[in-house]
Amino acid sequence: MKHAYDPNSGAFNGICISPSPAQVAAWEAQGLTVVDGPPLDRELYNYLGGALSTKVEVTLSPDQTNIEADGVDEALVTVSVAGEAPPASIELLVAGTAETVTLTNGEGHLTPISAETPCTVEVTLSDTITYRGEPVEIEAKDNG
Amino acid sequence: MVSNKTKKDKLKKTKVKKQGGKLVASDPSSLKGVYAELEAANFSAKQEAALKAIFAALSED
Repeated sequence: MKHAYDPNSGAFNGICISPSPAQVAAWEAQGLTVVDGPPLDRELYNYLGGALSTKVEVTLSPDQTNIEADGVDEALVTVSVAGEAPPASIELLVAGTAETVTLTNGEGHLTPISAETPCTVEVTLSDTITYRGEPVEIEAKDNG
Repeated sequence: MVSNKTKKDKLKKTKVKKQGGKLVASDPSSLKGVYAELEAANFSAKQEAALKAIFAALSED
């Protein structure tokens, strides 16, 4: 089994049981490092620092996923970062806009989200190489 | 059923701004969003009244 990763970012870009020389050459031409590795789900791993390691699991838990589009009703997303040495903060993307959440013992809250018009707000992880976690969507509806 | 493309397009339209200690989301392309933008703009009373009439008519359709 061959793994291909970006030595600069640590992103785990490719995995193949028995890649052809052309495939290996194509990976290398992209600046990727090709190494032997075990079979695994590459979405769960990275090559930060050049070593295969598991991504840190992050859980995003909104108190509600449906809010009124009245600028008042709000959703609060709790962020939990697993692991023994969680970071002091983590960056999330709220509708594509970066927002930093301060963490205490791996737990924190995103700034409350409200909406002025009907829309869907997606909250995702910014750094998907280091972390993994399901995005959440807050749906704002106009009930008035 | 909402297709993935429609869902993606919908997500792309959403913008957020920080206001009063909150993240306030909106879809500027929605009727309500466009109307809010117009209201915030420096329109004359006559222009605003005309636009309000147009949007009121559109909202009823």
